[in-house]
Amino acid sequence: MRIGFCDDDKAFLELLASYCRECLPFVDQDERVDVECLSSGEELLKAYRLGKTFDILFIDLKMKGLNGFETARQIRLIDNEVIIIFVTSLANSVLKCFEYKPFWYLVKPVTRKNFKNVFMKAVAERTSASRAECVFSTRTEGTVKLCIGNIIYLESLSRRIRLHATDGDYFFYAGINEEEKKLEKYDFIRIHKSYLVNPHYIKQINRNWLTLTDGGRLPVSGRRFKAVYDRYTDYLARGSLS
Amino acid sequence: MKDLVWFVGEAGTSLFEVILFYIFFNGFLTRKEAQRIRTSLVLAIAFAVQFAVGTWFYDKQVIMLISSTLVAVFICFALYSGSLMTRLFSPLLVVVFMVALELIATMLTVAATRVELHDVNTNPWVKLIIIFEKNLLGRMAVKVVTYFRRSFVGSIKTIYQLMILIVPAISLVLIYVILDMMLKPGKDDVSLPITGLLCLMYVNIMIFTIFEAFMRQVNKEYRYMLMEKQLDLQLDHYKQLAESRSRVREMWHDFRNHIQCIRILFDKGDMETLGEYIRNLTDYEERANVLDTGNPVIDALLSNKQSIAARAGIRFEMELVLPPQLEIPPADICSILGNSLDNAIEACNRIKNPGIEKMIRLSLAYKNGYLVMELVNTFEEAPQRQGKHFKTWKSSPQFHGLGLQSIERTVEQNGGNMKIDIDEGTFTLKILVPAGIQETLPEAEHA
Repeated sequence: MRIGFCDDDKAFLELLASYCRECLPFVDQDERVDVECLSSGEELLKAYRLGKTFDILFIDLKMKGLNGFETARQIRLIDNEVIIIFVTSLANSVLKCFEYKPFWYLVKPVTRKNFKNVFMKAVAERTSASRAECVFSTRTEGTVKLCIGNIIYLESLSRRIRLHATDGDYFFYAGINEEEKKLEKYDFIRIHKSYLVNPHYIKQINRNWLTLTDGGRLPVSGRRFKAVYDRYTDYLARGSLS
Repeated sequence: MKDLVWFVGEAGTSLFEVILFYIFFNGFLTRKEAQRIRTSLVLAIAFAVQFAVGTWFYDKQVIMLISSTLVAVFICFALYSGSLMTRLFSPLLVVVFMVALELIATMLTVAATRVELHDVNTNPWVKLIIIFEKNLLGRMAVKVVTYFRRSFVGSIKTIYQLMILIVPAISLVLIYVILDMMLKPGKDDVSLPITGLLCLMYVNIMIFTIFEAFMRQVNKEYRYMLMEKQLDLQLDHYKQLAESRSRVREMWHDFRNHIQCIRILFDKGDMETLGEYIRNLTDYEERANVLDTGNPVIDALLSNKQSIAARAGIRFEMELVLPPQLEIPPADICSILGNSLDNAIEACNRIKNPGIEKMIRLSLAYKNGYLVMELVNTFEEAPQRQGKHFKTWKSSPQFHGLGLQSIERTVEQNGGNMKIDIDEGTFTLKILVPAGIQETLPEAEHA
């Protein structure tokens, strides 16, 4: 796991890095953790161009040269998965950062407690269920291992199941009730007798249908509406900002 | 006898009936997501069936009635959503309503034109007049009832709604009684029953008007009360701001002293004392500062509740990730946040056992287009359920209806959801409210 700090203030960079090192013993992981300090947006983008990838990025909003927003925008063009946390002393600019899918934001002055709180959240997200994998045996392509975060929804077509993922559809023979049990621990929501949805891709829930983030629509059964909304409430209350 | 006028009359009746069904259902039921073309197709089929049945079985009342009911049920199931019972019940209601209208219109016409009652169905001109009257009356009645329902649904108790809806129902019975009297042989003078009917209509309209005005007043008072509450909070917040300003001035003064001391120590070269001095200053770092989410209503409310909690010895933790301009009405935010925090503080205050910590944890964040709130508090006595809702602990009844129920109502009005979890010793309230954020922000600030 690689964590990057990007700020043009050297002293502040040192402070954040030291907080970070204090937190590392609490990270329950075997993987090696690299901490890297970058003194400008350009330097960070250069690192990306050289093929380095980061898992968690702390970006200061107010920097000389490329500011934090511009840096974040360009990074999002390359890497849509990295967890970005903005560091800012301008409480007003919080609004604008929602466009760049930030995970969270920290307001200066950053205290040890605040930092640890946000940092542990980010690490938990990085190692969370959305990156877990699940195995399905399909008819056409044999056994397929799919990342939970890439599954959008499952649709039951009588005895078959159509699994709609970000990279296309998979078909296999199974009952949707068993699949529901299998995916329950990843927060999948049964919205209809033949639909099982990953809440990550839900944009809005209405009484009779829900909108997915890609603009698609799925029916919500009236009988399940309250239960569906309750599960989604639980999911959002627990999850991250993006 | 089936000439053109007769056909036009029949078509008019069918068309009117279908349109009346449609308007009536629109006022009472929620529409399914359907394309325009589907809606028009369903209505066209309904009209065709109605027209066909009307032309073939014009003299068989029972068949016409059954076909009307079936058409109403068909429209209801094709275009609207809702529970099975409401979708079955509403068509029956509307058919009864239509029959009543038909009776009234027929009677009025008979009285006015002095045509024999049994001629009505065979004389096309009289029939056309009746259709016209029916149309007028029906649309008026539906307008009044649906308008009334739309504007007050949710804000009044069901019992009042029932009470007010019983008035037109009783009027229908009265109309029937008057009609019965009129049709008795030997009574030729119809001016008295007509006067009675007109009076009845006046009474009905007046009752609805007065009730509406009354409800508007109640709503206004409720809003006014909320606003007053909000103003009080703002005032408190400003007082706190003034306080913190003087504290800042104090700190600034201290700060100059500190810098002076640091310089003296540095000049003396006493690095050890200097280091210690600086380390002692770090408690400034952890000092709580004034709330500033950029959202004045939330700031005022939270800082007020924070100081109340502090006075009551409650540990109050907050985690706020909010854009400054949330598109939720401030009065609603105030009602949701204020009521839920009041409940939490109330529950903590009831803790008498020193072994239980008084704690409230609030997290407010903006995620996926939703305002997400999670409020956790500890309690000693578990809240008791009373049916679907919870019993209140409050002793003063004037605050009733401002608790969880009103939170839920406000949340649902905004299309959100509320969920309650009760675990061992903690009460968790989770609320989702869909909210947009305003995209206007001065660009200069980010330069």
